[in-house]
Amino acid sequence: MSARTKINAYVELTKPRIALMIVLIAAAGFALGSRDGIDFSRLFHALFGIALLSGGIAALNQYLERERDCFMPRTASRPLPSNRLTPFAASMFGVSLTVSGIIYLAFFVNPLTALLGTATAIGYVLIYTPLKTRTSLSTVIGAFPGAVPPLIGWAAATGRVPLIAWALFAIQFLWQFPHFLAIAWMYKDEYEQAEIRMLPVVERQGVATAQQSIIYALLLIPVSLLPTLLGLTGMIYFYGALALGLFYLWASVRTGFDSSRTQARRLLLASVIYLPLLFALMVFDTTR
Amino acid sequence: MMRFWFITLAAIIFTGLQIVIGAWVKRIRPPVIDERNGAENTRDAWLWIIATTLIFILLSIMMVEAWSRWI
Repeated sequence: MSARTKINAYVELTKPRIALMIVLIAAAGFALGSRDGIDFSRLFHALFGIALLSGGIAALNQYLERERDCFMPRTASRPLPSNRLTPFAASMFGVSLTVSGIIYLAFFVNPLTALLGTATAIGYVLIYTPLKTRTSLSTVIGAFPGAVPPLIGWAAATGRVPLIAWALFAIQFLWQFPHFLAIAWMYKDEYEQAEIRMLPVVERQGVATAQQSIIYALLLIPVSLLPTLLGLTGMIYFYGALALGLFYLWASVRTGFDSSRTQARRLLLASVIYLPLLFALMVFDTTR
Repeated sequence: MMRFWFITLAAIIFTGLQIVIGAWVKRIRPPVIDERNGAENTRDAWLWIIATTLIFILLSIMMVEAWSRWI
């Protein structure tokens, strides 16, 4: 195998597209937390450390799921199931990136950011990933580390996590449910083959999946208005968030009417439009 | 104390809302012809309702705090 192929496999192991989204949302959290202008040097260090951590967590996740990934066409071409990397190499790579990301954040950013990074790594790799084959509630557990990016960005900027930073955490936390339940509905047969107990796998009718998608999209509307109530953003954000929330809710409600894979894909698309637009609007209309 | 009762009442209404939405979805959604794992359906559906209500309670504490700062 050529060195280039191997390097590509290591890059793929870090799930670069997901890492980019995490880094962008953490950057938004950093910008929102920076009351007296953005410290670009600190921002660079924070994003670099977060990127290392994100890549390490993704690699460790794939190491732990390497056998199950073989059963799903969606994941069978990943570096480990396709034998482009050995499990040992992937695990060492994952541990190195995760540990160096945490140490980097502790030294170049602040201890709180490193602590949040450590909690995220433990929550995702050691708690959420093993629970995926045991309970459908793993999605709820996984939503906690999954919601950390805006919080860690804010902590990197200020060294604190006030109520408003937790509001950003709550937004990202709630957003994940319709997003991941849509993915789970689309790939429920593959998940079942791999013995991953997503909600649509254990509740094949999809009633609970649609019910939970709707309820979380509904809950997200008032929570997404918190940045204005807490004085972080203005009325442009308020009305924009309301419109985006209604759009996301409508996409979720449609999964109630229609159990097709196409509808689940539409909800997934709505979710990936919703979150970046919401955070962009927040940064645009910040009152600080 | 008033906050406690307010959040408790809101959590009860929220649980009811989840059940109503579930019943509504069941009524309007075309049935999926698949009865595998039938025995687990109810258990997981209820576990999700309980977990979502607990999350709602946590969020309510935050919402009440934000509201009290805003007014």
